[in-house]
Amino acid sequence: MSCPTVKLEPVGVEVKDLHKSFGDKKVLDGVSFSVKPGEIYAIMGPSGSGKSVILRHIIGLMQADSGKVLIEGKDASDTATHRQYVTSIVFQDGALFNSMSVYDNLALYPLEHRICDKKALRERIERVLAMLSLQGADNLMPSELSGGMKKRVAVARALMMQPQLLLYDEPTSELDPELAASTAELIAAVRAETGLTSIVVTHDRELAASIAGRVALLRQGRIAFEGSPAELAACQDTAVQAFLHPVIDIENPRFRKQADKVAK
Amino acid sequence: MILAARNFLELLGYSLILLWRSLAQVGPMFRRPRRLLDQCFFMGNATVGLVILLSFAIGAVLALQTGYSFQDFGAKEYIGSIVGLSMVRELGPVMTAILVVGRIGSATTAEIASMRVYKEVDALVTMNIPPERLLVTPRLVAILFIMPILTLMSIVAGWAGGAIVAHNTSWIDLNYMSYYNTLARFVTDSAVTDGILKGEFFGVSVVLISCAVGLRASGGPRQIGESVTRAVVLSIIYILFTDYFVTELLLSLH
Ligand SMILES: Nc1ncnc2c1ncn2[C@@H]1O[C@H](COP(=O)(O)OP(=O)(O)OP(=O)(O)O)[C@@H](O)[C@H]1O
Ligand SMILES: [Mg+2]
Repeated sequence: MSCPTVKLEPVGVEVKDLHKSFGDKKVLDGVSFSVKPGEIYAIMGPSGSGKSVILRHIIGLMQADSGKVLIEGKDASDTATHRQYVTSIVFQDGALFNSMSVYDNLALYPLEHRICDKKALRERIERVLAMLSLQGADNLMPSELSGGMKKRVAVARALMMQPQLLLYDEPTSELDPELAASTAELIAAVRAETGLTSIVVTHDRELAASIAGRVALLRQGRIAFEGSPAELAACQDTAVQAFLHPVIDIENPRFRKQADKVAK
Repeated sequence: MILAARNFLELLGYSLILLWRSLAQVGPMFRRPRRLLDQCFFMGNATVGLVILLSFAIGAVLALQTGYSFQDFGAKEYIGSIVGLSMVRELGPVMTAILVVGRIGSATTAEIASMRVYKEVDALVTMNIPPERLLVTPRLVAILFIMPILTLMSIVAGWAGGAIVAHNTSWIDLNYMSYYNTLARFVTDSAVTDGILKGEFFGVSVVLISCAVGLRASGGPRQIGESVTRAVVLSIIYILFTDYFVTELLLSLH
């Protein structure tokens, strides 16, 4: 057995009227969108708006209060769906296995599922690490990595699964501008090479603008905007523009306005 | 109180489910025997010294106590049988189990709880790798191998402690031969197997409870510490509680 890069059968994702609360705090209040097979779909939105929560629903780690997520028409909260279709996620904080070296982190999935022989596996891991500018990091432990390196190892580990659907939770948030650009290129290249479906949660406007087919904006538990990057840039909604192009105003800072509001 | 008892029962229920799922992973686990060996090595390393030391001390004190009580009866030869049987049937397995709680159970819960809190368990699930395969099954199989060895060590160390004290205390002054003779007369093979079975039962239960508590952890770093405390307390209550019934069961089987 070797590990060829195969053309994958991409899968479509449908999120239908998703509701989720934690205690009495409503996080998702009827989120619906659908992602076409092979598309790169970007989700943007303020911190704490529930982007990671959406991804956890899609990957099957969280149960919705109501509404559902379908992958190729199959319920995403059912583990059988994730056995039928290879789905993977890059967690926001990486979620690397802290007791394993970088190499073992990447090797775990292929070994446990007996996908590769040892030699082909090493070659593939070297290749994936090189793609993410991580050459020579294979023997390091996660605790020895910088934040940005962890993030890239997490991306590498997800790529090792050769998924049909790959969810990225802020893949570029801790990277310098050049690495962020290179990671964006990688996401697009992986899609071009394998045809997988990608959902990218990001705060990175350039990433969304350059590689996403469509962008959604999550606000107050709903999709406030959905459209192509060009449509997003042209959107006249003031809230959308304020979110995308915040003006840094030293004379009249936001935190002071907010503090004043609380004081009243 | 009622709530605590309910939580406890709920956890035992979950432990049984966990046991079932872990058994299903025994086959896949043996494909990577390294994990099992690592666990065996860790478990042995963490406990052997402590088990020997503590059991030796307990055997010694036991000999001293019985020697003192028997002084007036002139029945000091029976010190051997008392120390021998107590160590085999009760103190050996129970002491070993309690040390296993402290050294192995707590480490197990800490590691698994931290993997849960830092989403490593989630990552395993998304990779379609049952967490039990990596986290629970190797530990259960390892303790199955290690526990009889530990229990035997504990028993022998206790005997030795008793013998040395009985021989060297001036007002007992029992020679090794008569100590050993009464010990050998009363300690039957079935007593030894009972002791080892008991240890095995406790060992597996403790590891299972520790894994279950760890896997149920959620929240932040503080919950890791809480889980460890919980696992230790629950395990000790469980040992002391089931000890009676296991003993009765084993005795009734003869
Ligand atoms: N397991 C949980 N228990 C309770 N509340 C949660 C849980 N997970 C998320 N939340 C809450 O849900 C809200 C959305 O969280 P989420 O992590 O999805 O935000 P996000 O959009 O990913 O933000 P960021 O851009 O900062 O990552 C937050 O207010 C958070 O407090
Ligand atoms: Mg997030």
